[in-house]
This record gives sequence, C-alpha cells and structure tokens, in this order.
Amino acid sequence: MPSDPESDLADLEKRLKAARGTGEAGRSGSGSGREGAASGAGIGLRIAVDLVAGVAVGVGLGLWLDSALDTKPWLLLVFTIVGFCAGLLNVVRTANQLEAKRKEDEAAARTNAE
Amino acid sequence: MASNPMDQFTIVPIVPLEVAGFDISFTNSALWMTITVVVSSLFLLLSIRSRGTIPTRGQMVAEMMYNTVANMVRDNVGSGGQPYFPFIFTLFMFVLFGNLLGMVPGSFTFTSHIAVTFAMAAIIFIAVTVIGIAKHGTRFATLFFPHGAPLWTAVILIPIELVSYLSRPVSLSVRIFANLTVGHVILKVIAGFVVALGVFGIVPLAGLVAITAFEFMIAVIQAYVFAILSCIYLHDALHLH
Amino acid sequence: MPQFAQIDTFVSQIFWLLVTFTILYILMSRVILPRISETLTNRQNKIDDDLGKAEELRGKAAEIQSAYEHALAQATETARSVHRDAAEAIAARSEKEHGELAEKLAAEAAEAEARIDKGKTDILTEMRDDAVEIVQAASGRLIGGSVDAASARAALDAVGK
Repeated sequence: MPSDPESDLADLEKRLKAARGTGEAGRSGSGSGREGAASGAGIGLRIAVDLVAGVAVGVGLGLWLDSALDTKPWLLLVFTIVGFCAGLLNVVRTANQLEAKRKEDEAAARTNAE
Repeated sequence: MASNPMDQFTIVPIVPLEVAGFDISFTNSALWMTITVVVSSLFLLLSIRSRGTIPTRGQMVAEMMYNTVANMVRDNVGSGGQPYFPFIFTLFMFVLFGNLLGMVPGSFTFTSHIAVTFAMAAIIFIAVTVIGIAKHGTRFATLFFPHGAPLWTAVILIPIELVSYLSRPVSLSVRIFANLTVGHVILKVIAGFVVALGVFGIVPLAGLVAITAFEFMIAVIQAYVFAILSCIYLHDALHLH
Repeated sequence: MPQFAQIDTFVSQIFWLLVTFTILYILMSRVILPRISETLTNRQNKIDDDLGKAEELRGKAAEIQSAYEHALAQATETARSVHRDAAEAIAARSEKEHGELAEKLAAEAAEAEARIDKGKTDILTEMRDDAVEIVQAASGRLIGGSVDAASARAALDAVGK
C-alpha cells in the first residue's frame, strides 16, 4: 500500500496520544476490584463475622463492667443490646462498602467496554 | 492418615526456649513464619533482580503485587497514606505467603491461629488509634459521633459506635482465622474420604481438586481483605471519615 | 480446637510473629520496595522519554513535510512564471518577425509591380513605335507618299481608341 506521508503523520499522532493515554490509565486504573471475586458464601461469612464481633465485644464489655462495678447482670444486658446494634452497624457499613465497590466495578467495566 | 482433621493445627515445639519465665519455643508455627519471610523475600528479590525495563514473567508478578497494594493504599487511605505503604505491603505479603504456603501438603498455616491473627489485628488497631489521636487530638472522638446528629442521641450512638470500633480487631482477626480454619478442615476431611474410599475415591477427588482451587482463591482474597481493611481503618484515623 | 486449647503457646506465637514480621518489614522497606519502585520509575521515565522523542520527531517530520510542500508550491509557481515569460517572449518575437516579413514582402511586391508596370509601358512604347513604322511603311506602299511619324502616330492613336 503506498503510504501517504500526511495520513501517516496523523496516524502517528493518534498512536502517540493513545500511548500517553494508556500510560496514565495504567498508572491510575487496575488493581482493586479483586474482592469482587469473593463468592456469596464469602460475603455471607464476612457479614456474619461482623455481626458476631459486635455482639462478642458487647458481651465481653458487659461482663467485665458488671464484675468491676458489681452491677450484675444489668450492664451485660445493656451491652449485649449495644453490641448487637454495633454488629448491625458493622454489617450496614460492610454492605455499603461492598455496594460501593460493586458500583465502582460496574462503572469501570462500562468505561472499559466503551 | 485417618487422623483428626484438627491435628493439623497442633503447635509442636521444635527448639524449646524460655526467656524470663516466658515460653518462646521455636515451634512449627515459628518455622513456617520464617519460611514465609524467606520465600516471600527470595521470590521478590529473584524476580526483580534483572530490574529490566522490559519485565520478565516473575518481575511482572512482583510489580503487579506492588501496584495492587500501591493502588489499594492510594484508593483507600487517600492523602497521607504513602508512609504506610511499606507496612501495608509487608502485611499483605506476610499474610498472602502464609496462606499460600499453608496450602502445601503437610505444612502449617500460622494464619489459621487466632493468637496470630488477633495479635496482628490488635497491633493494627492500636497503631491506627494512636495515629488518629496523635494527628487529631481530642477531635478523634468525633469519629464516634455522627456529625449533625441531635445531641440526645449521643447517649445511644456513642456506645454503639465505640463497641463497633472495638469490634474491628475482633472481626478482622476472626474473619481470616475462621476462613482458613474452615477451609483446611474441609480439605482434610475430603482428603480423608479420598483415602478411605480407595478406588471409589474418584468422586471426592474431583471435589478435592475443586475445593483446593477454591481455597487458593480464599488464601488470596483473605490476604487482600486483611490489607484493604487495614487501609480503611487507617483512612478513618487520618481523615475521620 | 488447638487454636483455643494451646493457650500456653500464645506467647511463643506472638513473639515469633513480631520477630519474623519485623525482619520482613525491614527487608521490604529497605531493600525490596526501593528496588521495585526504582525499576517502575525508570520504566515510566523511559516510556515518557521515548514518547517525548517520538513526539519531537513527529513534529520535525511535520515541519519537514510543510517545508517540502512550501518548496514544491514555490517551484511550481516558478516553473509557471518561467513558462509564461518564455511564451510571451516567443509570441513577441514571432509577431515582430512576422511584421518585418510582411513589410519586406510588401516592399518586394511593390517593387515587382513597378517593374512590371515599367516593362509593360516599355513594351507598349516599343510596340507603338513598331506600329508607327509599320504604318509609315504601309502607307508609303499604299499611297506612295511618305507619312511623317507624327501623323502616323496620331492616326494610330485615333484607331487605338
């Protein structure tokens, strides 16, 4: 194919711009999103752990304060409820995080597809 | 071979050692921590030794790990996160190689021990709290009370937020401990089936292969999650939400 | 579960965790990470450098191309003007030569005409003289007298009319 110097130069300019573009994209994009590979079971276990950890800390705090302040069993009762609420808060935060990550991945997938 | 699937978690002293009344024997756990340090360092050192502009395959893996953690720190810690990059990277590599080497038959998985995972989580928790207080002083307390909420809700919200904050090291350590323990027990039980069933062990063998692949994935994901949650906690301490 | 049963190993586990983790941290932060980041920086610099060079060369090529186009346009213009000048010169010369030739031809034609005229007159004069002589001679024979040349001529003129 006989090459036309003018279109060759325009082509080169395009390729240079593209190379610069991928260079920048390579530096910012990629990475993260591997968490999306976590299966439903993985997410389930994660949320269960979040909830149980809150309750466990609440129960632990309640037992400790009860024995220290001699208020058995009232603080245990209160802190078990507080712990449950904290566990729910953990779950909500994790869910929000996962949701945000999912949206981000989706957006990334969409821009990649374009 | 038909041993208790829990036996793989037993800690066996190799070199008994006692200092100031504390038993700090060099155990199979310590051995595999040492192997993890040696293998992860050697892997990185050997794969990047050429330092080529055009990377070799091993170098690409090493650089991918570097970039993954670098992006993780940048995306999740935000500004001011750069000084903590070496720590997060070490944490990621230590847990990742600990998990992966634990998949070697007959090895020991130190990340399946709550003492180890909780110690790591506690160190991160304490470090992050100290960093937050050092940076923000008393304003660090605003982490426990949502901005703009009615004052009377403080009575309810502050204990909940406080317990939630305190539950971080618990969930961080229990998550990885539970995942790896359950995974290794399942592998051991199914491997037991394969051996017990002999010729008919072909069905559980297929299952064993599938679960082994799944456990490798879990090994990587848990290391990643451990590192990324550390980043998120660090972010909260540096930026107060 | 040995994880909860072997509480007596906790100190040892945590001790060796701290030792090995610290060693790994020092190795990573002092040796390995600087090497990786150096390699990555070098590569990025090389890529930026190469792209910069390519950009520069592309600029030069574009410059050369525009210079070439300019020169080409100039050469075309020069050729056109040379061609035009030559055509004009040739036209002028051929017109001039044409004019000269026409003049010369006209002069030659005029001269030839004059010559023919003169010849004609000479011949007529001669013929007339001959006729006069013939008239004289003829009249002498016919009437026996001589007729002078003037009357013979007059008679001829009257007849010739």
